[in-house]
Amino acid sequence: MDGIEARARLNKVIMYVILTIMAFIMIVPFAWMILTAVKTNQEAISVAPFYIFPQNGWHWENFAEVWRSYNFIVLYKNTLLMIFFRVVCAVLTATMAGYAFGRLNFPGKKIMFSLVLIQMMIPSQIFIIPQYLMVSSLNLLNTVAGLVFPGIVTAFGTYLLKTGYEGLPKDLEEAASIDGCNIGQRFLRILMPLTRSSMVSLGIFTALFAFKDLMWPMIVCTNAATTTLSAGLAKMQGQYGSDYPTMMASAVLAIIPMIVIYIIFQKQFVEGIATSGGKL
Amino acid sequence: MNKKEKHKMTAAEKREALWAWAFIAPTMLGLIILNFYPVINTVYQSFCKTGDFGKGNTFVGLANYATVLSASETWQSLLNTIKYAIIEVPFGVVIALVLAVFLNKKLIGTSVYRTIFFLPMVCAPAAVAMVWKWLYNQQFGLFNNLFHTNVAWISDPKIAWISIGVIGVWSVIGYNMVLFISGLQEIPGDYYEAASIDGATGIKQFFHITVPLLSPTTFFIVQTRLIGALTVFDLMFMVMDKTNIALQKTQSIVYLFYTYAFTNGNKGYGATLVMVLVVFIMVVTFIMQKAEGRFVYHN
Amino acid sequence: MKKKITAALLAVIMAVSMAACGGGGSSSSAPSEPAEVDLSGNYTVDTLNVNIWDSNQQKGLQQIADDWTKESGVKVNIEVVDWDNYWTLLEAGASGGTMPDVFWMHSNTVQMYMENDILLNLTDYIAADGVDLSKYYEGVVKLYTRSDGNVYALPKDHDTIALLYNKAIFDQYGVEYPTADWTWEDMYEAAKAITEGSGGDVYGMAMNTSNNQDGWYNLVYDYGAQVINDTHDGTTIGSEQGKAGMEMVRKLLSVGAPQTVVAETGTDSLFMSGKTAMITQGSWMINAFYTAEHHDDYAWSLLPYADVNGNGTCDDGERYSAYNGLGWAASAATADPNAAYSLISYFCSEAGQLKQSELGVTMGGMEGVSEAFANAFPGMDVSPFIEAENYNLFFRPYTRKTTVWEDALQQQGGFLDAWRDPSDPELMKTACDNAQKIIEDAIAAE
Repeated sequence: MDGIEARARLNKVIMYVILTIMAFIMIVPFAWMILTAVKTNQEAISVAPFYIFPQNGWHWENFAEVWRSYNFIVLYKNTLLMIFFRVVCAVLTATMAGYAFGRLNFPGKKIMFSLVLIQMMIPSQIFIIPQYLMVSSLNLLNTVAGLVFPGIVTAFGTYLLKTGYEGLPKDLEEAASIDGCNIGQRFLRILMPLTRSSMVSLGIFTALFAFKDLMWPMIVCTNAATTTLSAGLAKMQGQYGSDYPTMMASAVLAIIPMIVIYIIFQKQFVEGIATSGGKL
Repeated sequence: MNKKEKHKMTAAEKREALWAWAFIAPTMLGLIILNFYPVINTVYQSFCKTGDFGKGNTFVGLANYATVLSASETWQSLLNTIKYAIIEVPFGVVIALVLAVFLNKKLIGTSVYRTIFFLPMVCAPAAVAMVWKWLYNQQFGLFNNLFHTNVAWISDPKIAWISIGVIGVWSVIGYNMVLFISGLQEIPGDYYEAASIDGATGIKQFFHITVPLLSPTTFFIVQTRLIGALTVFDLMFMVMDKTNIALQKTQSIVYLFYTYAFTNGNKGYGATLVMVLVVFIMVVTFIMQKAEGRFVYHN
Repeated sequence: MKKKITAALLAVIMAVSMAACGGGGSSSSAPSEPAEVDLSGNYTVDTLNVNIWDSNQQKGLQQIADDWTKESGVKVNIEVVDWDNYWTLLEAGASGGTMPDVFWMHSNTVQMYMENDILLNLTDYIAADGVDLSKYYEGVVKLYTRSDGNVYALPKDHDTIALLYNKAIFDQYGVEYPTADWTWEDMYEAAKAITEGSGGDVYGMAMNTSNNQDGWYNLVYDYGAQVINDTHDGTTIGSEQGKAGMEMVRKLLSVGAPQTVVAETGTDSLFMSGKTAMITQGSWMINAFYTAEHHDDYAWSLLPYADVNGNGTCDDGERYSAYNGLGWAASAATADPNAAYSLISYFCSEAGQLKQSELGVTMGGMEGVSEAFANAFPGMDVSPFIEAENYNLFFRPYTRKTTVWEDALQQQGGFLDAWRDPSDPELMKTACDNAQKIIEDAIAAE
């Protein structure tokens, strides 16, 4: 028995070692981002000697500098508005459609749902040029509406919510119809609240997707004042390509809010990803 | 049409159908306008030559296809994309699986590890790519200065595709891991108990119980990640400057599409590249579907 | 918030109607009605949006613009967009999006913009304003004049190229500083001595081959060839002279920083970090080096020349510097063409041009205003940029679609293999032959 216990302990040690090494690898880029952000540019491009830590004090004011010169408030605002409207639109339309597909019978259901499935299988790049031309001819370039545009409806969310509604017990509606509720009331009062976790999953998924998206904001919002954090970073990299502390400071500023939100709502994030498991 | 379905609808059924149509209307309308019409429009545009500044589409038949299919950069970028996927998908899946199995063991501190591994998932790829580009920098980068090497990580064509693949793996491990953990939690514990009584060790258990029972999850992850990897753009775009001499040997097909459609303003040519991508992905999806029966263990 | 939702809803509704009629969205910023030329200062806008691509110039130009604001009461909002994104942005704007009111034009692209009426036609304004175009550099004026004689931009500046070196590195390896009598061979020997002396720690020189105007173009002309001929319909890069020039480029590259290095780190960063002893730079970059931490070590020198006839002195045609001039242009769709023109003409007026020189932003597009530029950097001698004008100048090569062949030259089948492996003279020769064909084919396809 001693041998087995010893081996179990050894296994544990090995696991911890591997986990810790991996955790270290995951952390290094973040650490380097911050360490570079608080250096002077001369320190950042010094190679002999090479500095891991800033030598002449930690220049936290670099963040303030970038914040001012790059108008981060506007980038945050645009990103937040885009996420907000995309989440509201996606959850609203998908929960309605998901309910209809999951709980109701109607002619044309199969065909309509197959359209949803087909959309999920098509690579989204095929939509981009016409979507861009639509946004352009609607004069929505450089607006929040333009940013939200392709995310007004979601086939994936519809599918996700349909699965959610199908998973609810069968007799819910019967009880409700005895109470004299019509279909709309049943949906609002009884069923919808029960799919809260699916809605949260979809919301998180949508928010993350919107936050990370680069190509769409880059093509529809070309002005620094109308674009999102992701696309703003791409602009900054082009402009301050060799001012490394500035770039790292802006990268930190761009990712901090989502990291904070993630750490607070960790459980929801992990569950949301695990259940939606979508094509992020 | 089956005769049974043609029966007259009752009032209640009619009401239900009306509600249902009202509920799906926004989504369906949206899908038609935002997705299905664009598909047709893209196909149409792929037969057109775009004039300067998007003015005057002229129908040119298959001319774009002839150019795209005979251009070596198209095939090179497809190859680059596949090479990227060959790094990102297998490594991303295997490492994530190992980590998931460890974290599923109820060790102390798992939640801290899980939080750390998942961090890249909540970061904008633009930011991630920026810091990796800086880490890789041949002159001032952390890697070369720490290990006293002088490797051109992202500008040597022989290495750059691997370096980019590594960023992809780093970014995706946490996401795969979370999916694996939720898959692992669905495997009934008594399988392992039975195996322990039979004297099977951890590694044996892993290969004889975990791997087969987890295969549906694994398949799902491989499939979604494969599609994701084949449409990679953000990392490439941020890491590979236009002037990087390794660009041609690393740029993905979507990067090429972006360059033509939006940097050069040649929408028709861009649309043709998208068509090539779509056909390619369809083929991959089809093969994956065929492969599912072989690799997925059904209980 | 409500407004935004309405906008989104509106978008859907309009998109539906558009899908119905199968529109492909080719609408674009149609050239506005030829507006009344009105130079009396009655402006209908309160802000003009200006886009430029060089952040080094933002501060100085904003100062000049603020002077104009005092007169006109119209605010000027200058936004910097990096080079690559700048053209993507303008392209998108010209294809139906929103464009800045006033912006820079460049020889690479201006032909397309003029031909498609994207730019405001300034001809009538110039006539009404009585601007004398002969005061500006001829090549720059010609560039922004369409074949039908209409003018679409006023010359903002002109630039020349010089050699920048780090005295500290030369001292450390006991190599003599560059002089005005240097040939490219001399530069090669010095670069070689430094690269070898440092064991590869420091590069004797660095040249980013994708920056052609401040780099290898100059050698092609020094050795007697032309990247694009004077009539903009051919090239002699594949000639013996062209090959001789590119052979010299190859030799320089072989003792300089490899292209993998400069691809990741700009030659300016390499220089400022003390990793390289010499680079060639355009006058638009002076400020970056003037404000750098170790600027005391930096000095400028004339670009070396090619002693083609071997007589030991620099004769006519043996020392060229590329020059180029940006233009101030306005969007044809700008809300207030009069305000836009007024701002442009202020930037290009004698006062505006002088101030641009004095502030050290750039040398002028107008002749005779650049003396002040040399004095804008106390403690740093930038006279080589002005002295370069006493020798031969060639205008930055352009054709109708410059970027097509410029990009192709950088790729596989162009110079890429030669850039990557400068040790093999044969690669460079083949590349010159390829380049000849690439440019000829591209011009034929224009």
